[in-house]
Amino acid sequence: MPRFLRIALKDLVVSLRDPSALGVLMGMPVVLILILGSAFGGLGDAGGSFGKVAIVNLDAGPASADQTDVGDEVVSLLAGNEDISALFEITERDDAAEVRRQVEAGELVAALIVPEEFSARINDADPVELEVLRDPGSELSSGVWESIARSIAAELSRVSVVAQTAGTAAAEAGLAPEAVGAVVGAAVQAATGDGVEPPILVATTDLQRDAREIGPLDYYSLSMTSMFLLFVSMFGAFSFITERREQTMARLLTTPTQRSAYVGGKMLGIMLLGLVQFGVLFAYTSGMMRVNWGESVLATWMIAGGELAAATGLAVLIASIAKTERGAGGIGPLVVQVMALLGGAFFQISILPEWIQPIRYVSVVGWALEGFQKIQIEGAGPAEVLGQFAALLAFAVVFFGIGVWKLRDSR
Amino acid sequence: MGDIVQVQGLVKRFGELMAVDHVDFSIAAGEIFGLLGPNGAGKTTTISMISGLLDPTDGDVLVDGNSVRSKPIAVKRVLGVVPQEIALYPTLSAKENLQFWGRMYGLSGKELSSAVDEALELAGLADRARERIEKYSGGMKRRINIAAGILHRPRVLLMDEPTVGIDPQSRNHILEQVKRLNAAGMTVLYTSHYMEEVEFLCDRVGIVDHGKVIAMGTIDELRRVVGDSDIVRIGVDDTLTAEALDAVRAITGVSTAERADSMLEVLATDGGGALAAIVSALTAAGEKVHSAEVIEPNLESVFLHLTGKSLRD
Repeated sequence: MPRFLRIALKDLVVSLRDPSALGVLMGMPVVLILILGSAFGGLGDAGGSFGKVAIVNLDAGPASADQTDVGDEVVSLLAGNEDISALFEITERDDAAEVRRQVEAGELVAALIVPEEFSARINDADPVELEVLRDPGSELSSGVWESIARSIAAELSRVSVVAQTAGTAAAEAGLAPEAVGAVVGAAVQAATGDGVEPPILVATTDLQRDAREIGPLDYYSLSMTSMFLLFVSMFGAFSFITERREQTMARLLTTPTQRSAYVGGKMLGIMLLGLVQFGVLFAYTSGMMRVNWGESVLATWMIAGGELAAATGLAVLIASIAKTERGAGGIGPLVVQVMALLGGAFFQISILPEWIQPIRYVSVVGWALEGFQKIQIEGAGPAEVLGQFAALLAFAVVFFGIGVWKLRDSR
Repeated sequence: MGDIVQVQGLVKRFGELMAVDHVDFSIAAGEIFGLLGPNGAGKTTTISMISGLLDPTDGDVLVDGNSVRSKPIAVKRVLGVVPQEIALYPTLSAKENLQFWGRMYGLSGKELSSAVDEALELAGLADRARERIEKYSGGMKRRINIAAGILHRPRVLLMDEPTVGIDPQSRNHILEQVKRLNAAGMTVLYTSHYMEEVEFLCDRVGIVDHGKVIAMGTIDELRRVVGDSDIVRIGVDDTLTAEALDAVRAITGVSTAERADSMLEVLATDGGGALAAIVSALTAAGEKVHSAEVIEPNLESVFLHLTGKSLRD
């Protein structure tokens, strides 16, 4: 095995035995993703509340005044029920398109749309559908909401069947009012019996993540990963500085090892640490948090590799500036957090005025996040994220170049 | 036997500071050569240039016929280096450290495995091989530090103050180990500011100060530099006056007299005879004498004779 690979593997082992490195590189992002995802609604399932839902009642009402307004009935059954209100924060809304957008964005866990001719169709005994919109990122909450909608639909169906059966029977038989009770009883039995198609159906729509907007959990999984991958640079710089201070670097250079092999090994070690970190975060978010990273695993790892190359270059630069671990411990987090802020790791850059949004491109995190989002939201593959990958490599070259120049200058 | 190391006009300048100033010496194969001098004399810088870690400002070093300037990797294949610092990875075990350093010297497979086992046995730490270095005592770390430099059986071993800051037992262990390695054919360049170590180990010694070799030869040759002079060491107050010092220097047979903290070191022919006159002169000058001893000629008296100061200054 070549010497540079030996050095890289040794560095990986040393790093993985460092509790502070493990805590910062893997522990902190795991916790932050969990907290931010929960705080912004993506993890409603995990808490006591089932989250925010909306009802949009588009029903124009019945054709005649003596008929029931079933749309209002649906709203009062849901919003007026204390048990349901204890589970969900229910709001009545008018704009179905906006509600749909909010569910897609994960701002609402689910919604119920009552269609325009709901009452009229029921009163005419025509089948009609209530539409439930679900955020797949809140599977449990939206599933509960759907179940509630289905039970209300079933209840209304029974009432509708009873009314229709009783009315028809009374009209055809010319029964006396006292006989109506018996007819109603028969009708209720018919409504609850097998083989009866309920007139009110529930159509469920799981909003897919090929929409332009994504949920907070998805967003923060990507953004926190993008930010914390850059923290590898700090531990890489530590590795260089510690080897210098403890004289292991000097000792290594007295062995038959070329300087290029030493530097290459150190840099590969940083890359390997970052790849292990990304593997852990990728497995955690996609496996346990059910975050969809997109279709192309290759493209995802390509962007991660590009960011880690930039982080490795940054490690050399920090090591060339900071003479001590304490210095690197001050510079590293500062650089990472400024890059995270500019790159949109803490909030979606789209909320900023349009003229300032390009600021993300001065940040490694901005390019990495853009690449990850293209894969996640647009289903981009390796060819579509080549631009972001190239930009990250350019950062790597610039950081490394300045770092080496500074190191030579200081010799 | 031919010279395996030839240091030729070696110079190292750091800005205005001349750290190594035209140093020349040779080491014969199988020899233990010592570089003796106080801290900051240029010993480590010299070793760093021989090992290819630092580029010389001028001059060259030939190791086994190869120039460190033009064939540094060929030179490094011949060398083993034991640095002054504990240059090991604290979170790796002793065995993992030795395996890593062995691989860096090109060992692998069974050769590496047996070299590591042997080095652990030599260090007396085979039973603690799987413990992390960070849990070792200072002396144990030093032993592994040495083991890492000799795993590959180098023809030339460079040891830079390998006993700094350790207990006497570990020091003895290390000195005996150096003797054994030399007896097995290894050439050793040993730097120290401890006169006793150099006298115990070395066949020849170069005394360095301010980056220059100021004397070189066997122990006996160097002792002859001071002739019959002894060191008379007198315990005095920190406030010893210049007048008292001048009074001592004026005594017949006294060649130098220097104070280091509360110790007055006097180089005098017939130290035993001069002792009474020195004590008398100090008492007459109003100084108190707390202790007195006469030391026969050694490398320290050589250093004092040549530089006018103690090795510990």
